[in-house]
Amino acid sequence: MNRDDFPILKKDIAYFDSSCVSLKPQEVIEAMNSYYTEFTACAGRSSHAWGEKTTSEMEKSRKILADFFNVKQKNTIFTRNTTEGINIVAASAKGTVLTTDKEHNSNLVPWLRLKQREKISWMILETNETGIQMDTFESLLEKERISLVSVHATSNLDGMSLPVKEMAKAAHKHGAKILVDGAQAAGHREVDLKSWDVDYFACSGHKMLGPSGMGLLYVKDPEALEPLMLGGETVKETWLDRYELEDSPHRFEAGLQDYGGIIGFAAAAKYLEKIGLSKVEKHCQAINEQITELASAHGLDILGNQEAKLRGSITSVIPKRMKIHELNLLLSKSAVYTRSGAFCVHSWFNKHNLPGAVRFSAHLYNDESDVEKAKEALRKLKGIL
Amino acid sequence: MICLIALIVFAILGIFSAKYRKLAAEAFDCVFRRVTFRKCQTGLDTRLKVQLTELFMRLSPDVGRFVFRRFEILSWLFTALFVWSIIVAGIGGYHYWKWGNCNGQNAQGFCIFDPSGENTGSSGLDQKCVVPELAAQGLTLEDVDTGLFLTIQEGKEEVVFLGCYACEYTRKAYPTLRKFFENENVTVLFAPFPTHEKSVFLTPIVNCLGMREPEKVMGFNDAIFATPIEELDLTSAGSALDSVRANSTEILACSQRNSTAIFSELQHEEALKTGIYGTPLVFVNGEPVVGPRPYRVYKRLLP
Repeated sequence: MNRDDFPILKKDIAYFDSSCVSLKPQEVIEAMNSYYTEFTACAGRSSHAWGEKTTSEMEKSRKILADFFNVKQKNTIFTRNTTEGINIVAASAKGTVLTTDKEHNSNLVPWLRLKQREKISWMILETNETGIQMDTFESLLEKERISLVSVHATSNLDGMSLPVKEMAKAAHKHGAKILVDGAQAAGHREVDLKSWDVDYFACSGHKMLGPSGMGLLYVKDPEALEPLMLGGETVKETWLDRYELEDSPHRFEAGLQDYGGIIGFAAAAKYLEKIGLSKVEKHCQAINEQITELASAHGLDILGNQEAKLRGSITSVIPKRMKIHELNLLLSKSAVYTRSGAFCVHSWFNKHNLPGAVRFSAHLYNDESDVEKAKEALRKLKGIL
Repeated sequence: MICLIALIVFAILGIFSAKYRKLAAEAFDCVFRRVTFRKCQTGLDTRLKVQLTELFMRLSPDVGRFVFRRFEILSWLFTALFVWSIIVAGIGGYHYWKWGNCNGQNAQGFCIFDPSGENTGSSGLDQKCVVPELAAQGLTLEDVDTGLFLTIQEGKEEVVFLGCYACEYTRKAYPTLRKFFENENVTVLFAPFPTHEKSVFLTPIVNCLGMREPEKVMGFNDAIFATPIEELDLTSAGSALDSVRANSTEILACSQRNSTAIFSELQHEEALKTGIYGTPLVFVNGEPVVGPRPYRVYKRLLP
């Protein structure tokens, strides 16, 4: 599926590390380059032609991304990545925060720090092979006076997705807000934030075919959130004894922005939209089913649900006879690029006393030839896996 | 254990290239952790294991899998071999420093520190300058009447030099020995030991010269060793005698006498009592050295 759009794949690599960082299509690379080769300037302040072009491209990009997630521009804040988005929300957090036991460090450490500083109370919702128990979740909301639910949409560990739409409904019913870590969901399936009705949603460009260093934070009510950083671009006016904040989203975007990155990010969203996210989702699922079959055939333990279709584009495995890093390196010697380790979810692996796993994560550019490569690589390792 | 080998290999390569210094540092960290019974954290051991497994897998997947499965045992085995070879190399180095040959005092085998074989070999008895399979016998001056050898230089320490004028290895050793005799305060007892047909006729000549004018033997030897083997004959011997201002007519006449032949025969029998199996044989203060050796070897045997 559109493999030719990705120039890096001329290297004939079976790239299964898209959950870490996805590859970029030529369109995204060109869009970014256009900023550097055609109109490099500052947005919103320089009135020359390049400056105006940068301003218009930046706002056009914001519109594209807002439309992509079905939200309004004023609620769409550019960040560096999902982690920054979560930290912006965490900076204003109060009361009791509820997360699952399978969160990425970016949705764990900020809360741990706030808890250590006694700024919040923090609770954990257990996950299982099917996701979460909705009744347990609701009972926690009811009994513990949760003020913020902060959960992943799709786990980067095992690809399992949470019913965020239902969770948002339940949270709101009990007066709680909900922040969704959408890093693994965005760009892999339809994300309609209007329909999900979440309060905050953070994602990264680099996992959805866009550039590294670009992220997005959706905030339903920007007035209720304090900017994490202040400085240039975030204020309308300053005096020596006070300042007047800009309107959203600019009040949250301190300093000169990564214009090339923003333009590239929007180009990625456009590219995905052109293909169709339901197609992308189905394709990734099909590849993941084949990888799952392969892993099972070689006796590898699969994390999460054994049903591939419940794990989106991710299959994380643990070999029985070799170390995870050994498997990862041996696969890479056969031009099959995966990731090994704890995937920044150390807390979950520590809880389950597991050493980590080897993760195959697919995207739209993976095809049968990649699966064949993985098959051949695993065949060579038969007997020592 | 692979990290220990990696540490030494990368440390040596690190002398020449910075990229190996980083690997050597990783290997050091790994070794340090392992000797303190902790896990290697750099992942170097894993990378090396995978690298080697993959290498063997290219040859044969079965071999690759075997290497992977038995990697720890193989690592230990190669570490043991590595340590053993370092010890052997160390002993070899010590022997080379002490005797000029890695294999020991009078050993003649190949020495890696002496690839050209400068310090290896001697001229065998009853053969024409070939390296023999050496007899495993002791070399000694005990019960040897060195009074039958020519005292060609007076000094403090005693050096006995048995050499063959027309043999390759005596000729190879001679410049070093000559320098040694000149520089050090030694008494030199010399006995010709002909194992080559071209040197047999020189024995009575040098014995006659030695009995009459021993101080001129060194100069005579210099001249003879400087003469190509194929040119060794009575004429060249006469010229050598002339070069040291000896009475060549008288000396050559003496060499023909029966008494000289008897003396030479007795001298040869005494030389054989040393257990000589190859030339040159040099005793420095009673310590035997066969074949050409570096200067330091002779010098080290002096007190």
